Amino acid sequence: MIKEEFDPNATEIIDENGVLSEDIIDPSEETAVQSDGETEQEAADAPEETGKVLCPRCGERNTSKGHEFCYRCEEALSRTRLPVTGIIAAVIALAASVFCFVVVSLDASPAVQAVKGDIAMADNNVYAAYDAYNKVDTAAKEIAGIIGEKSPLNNFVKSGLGLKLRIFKAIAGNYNPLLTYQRRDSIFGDSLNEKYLEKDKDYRLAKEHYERFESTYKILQEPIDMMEQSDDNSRENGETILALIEEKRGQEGVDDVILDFFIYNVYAFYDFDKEELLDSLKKLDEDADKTGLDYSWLYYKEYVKVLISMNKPDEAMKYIDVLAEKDISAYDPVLYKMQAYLLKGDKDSAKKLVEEYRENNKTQDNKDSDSSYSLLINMARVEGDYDKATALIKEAQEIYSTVPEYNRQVALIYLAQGKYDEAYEAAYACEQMAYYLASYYGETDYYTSNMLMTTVYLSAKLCEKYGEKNTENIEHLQEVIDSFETVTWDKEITDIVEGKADVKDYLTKGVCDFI
Amino acid sequence: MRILYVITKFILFPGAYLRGFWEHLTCRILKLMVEPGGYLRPDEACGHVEHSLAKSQFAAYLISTGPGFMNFNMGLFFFLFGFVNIKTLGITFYDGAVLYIVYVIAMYIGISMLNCLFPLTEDILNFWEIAYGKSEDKSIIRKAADGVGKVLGFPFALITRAGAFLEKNCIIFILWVAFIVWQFIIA
Repeated sequence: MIKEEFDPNATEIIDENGVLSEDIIDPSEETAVQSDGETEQEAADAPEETGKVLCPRCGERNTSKGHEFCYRCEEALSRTRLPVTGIIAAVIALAASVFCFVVVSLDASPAVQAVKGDIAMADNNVYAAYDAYNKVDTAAKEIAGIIGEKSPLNNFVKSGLGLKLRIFKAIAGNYNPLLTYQRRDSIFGDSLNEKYLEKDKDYRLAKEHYERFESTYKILQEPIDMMEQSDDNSRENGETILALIEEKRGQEGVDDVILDFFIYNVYAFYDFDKEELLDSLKKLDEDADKTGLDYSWLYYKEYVKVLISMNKPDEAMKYIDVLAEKDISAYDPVLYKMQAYLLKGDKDSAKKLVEEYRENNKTQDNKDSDSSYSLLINMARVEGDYDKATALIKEAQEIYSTVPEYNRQVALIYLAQGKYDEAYEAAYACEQMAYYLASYYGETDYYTSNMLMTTVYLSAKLCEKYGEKNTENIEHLQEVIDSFETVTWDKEITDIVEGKADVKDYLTKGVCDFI
Repeated sequence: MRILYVITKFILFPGAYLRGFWEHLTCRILKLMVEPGGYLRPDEACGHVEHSLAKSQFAAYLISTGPGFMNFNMGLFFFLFGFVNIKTLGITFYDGAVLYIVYVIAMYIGISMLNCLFPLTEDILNFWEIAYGKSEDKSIIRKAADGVGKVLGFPFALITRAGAFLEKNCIIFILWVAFIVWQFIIA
């Protein structure tokens, strides 16, 4: 820092703002000042006599009072040239920053969607995150439409592999790493690059789960094929398959947890007791704990369903909480939790839970989501408010026309009211819609769910037994009943069919639904 | 600390050089004396120019905030251009090597500019002394106007003073390093 105190009296050189006077800058006047100065200097006494100091910069002239340099050096210093490289750098930087500003403005809309997705993911709201991430490319395409498809700026407005990896991680971490890995082609599309993706630990973990499952499945191919091809679901047949599976335990390439899961499936498919089924799940849970890996995606839902069906809501709650924490937008954990509360007779908590879910899962235009409607309808039906439930169903079907669960709820309301023909028609419509979704979109979970099968079976059987049988799809009634010929039903269901129990009791007590 | 300061300025030389240039330009506009010697030098004035202290409140304010203002506005867009594309929109090396390198360089230049925002401590202390030191006798109206200006400008003056302290002690550089590590390695 040039240290100097400006002389307030030296106004002919420095103005009161500390700025050199324009007068000095005029070359003609400069000469005049210089000559005057020189005359003055010549006339002046020697420095030691006047107390003046020679300019340390030039060593030729004296400095003015309070100035570090002589007026000419001060003038020269205040006119130091800007370097050419600096000017070029500044111009380039300015132009580049304007370009950056334009690109950042164009990127704003897709980037906002990506940030929304990140925020939702931080809250474990996977549905909202997935929805927002998917809108990034839509927003980028809209921008491309505005600036023109052929504009070179389009190269700067697009999402990359990193964003697709975030979508993958969102689904794999909170839903099912195995299925997500299987669907990686549709997630990444052309940008799939194993070299990059394998650097991510979540991707590697999903891949490992997939490889373990594939390897175990291959080794267990024979008993699994036997199970799939056999119509005989007797206990003896099940025991044979169990023995074949157990033989493979410990073999290289066999994952014990996945093997346990196949064992559970044998218990579920064949005519075993519920206690044995629960034991198989307990064994699976213990083995999974030993690995230290997260296998909750593999069996927690099944475990919870079995626990609830065996009237063990407190035990089930522990596993439901794990599922709910992973994804606050997931429907199943909330449904199970609601059922667990109902089983405990705690309707208030169930209602509060549904309201919380409803608030957390509003659509972008602030409407209830399709799954929120399912829960609200369910809750209204459980409370016996059929008018409210029916009104909600109508409202939901106007917005979401392809949700089979709404028709199932209609069937349950009719069953509880003893209107079996209407119940059969609603259940039939529900099954058709679920079949359509399974066939065309691969959404098989709902179509193969126990609650759908039981609703359809019970509606058809009760219609056959007590209905007037004059409705639209009655011609398919026998066909529907026959399709369940090989299924082993729970005692509660067979009791209803045989007239030993009332379906209304089943639908108004405990869980109030078919699990 | 001086060595660390110089090292950080040399690491982030684009921003330091431009900051020096803007400061030099401001000195030229205000006709303040500037000691020649370049913008990147191995001392405390690295990324700045040695210049005489401004006398007026406006000149002192401009020399303290003007160069930083230029660096901030340009650096912000450079940084966002790189950061939004790499971090938010997930562009990777595999999406296009050239594009990715452009984003990385833009982000580096942006950070280098945003790391060189604040003036030398002498400049901000000079402004502080002029603006908030003992004032000469003025009319009531001038005093009132001066008071309003001081109140309105206080947050900026305070931020600039605090920023100058943080920059001098390389804390802003450390914060940038922490931010990059958090965003690209931890998160």
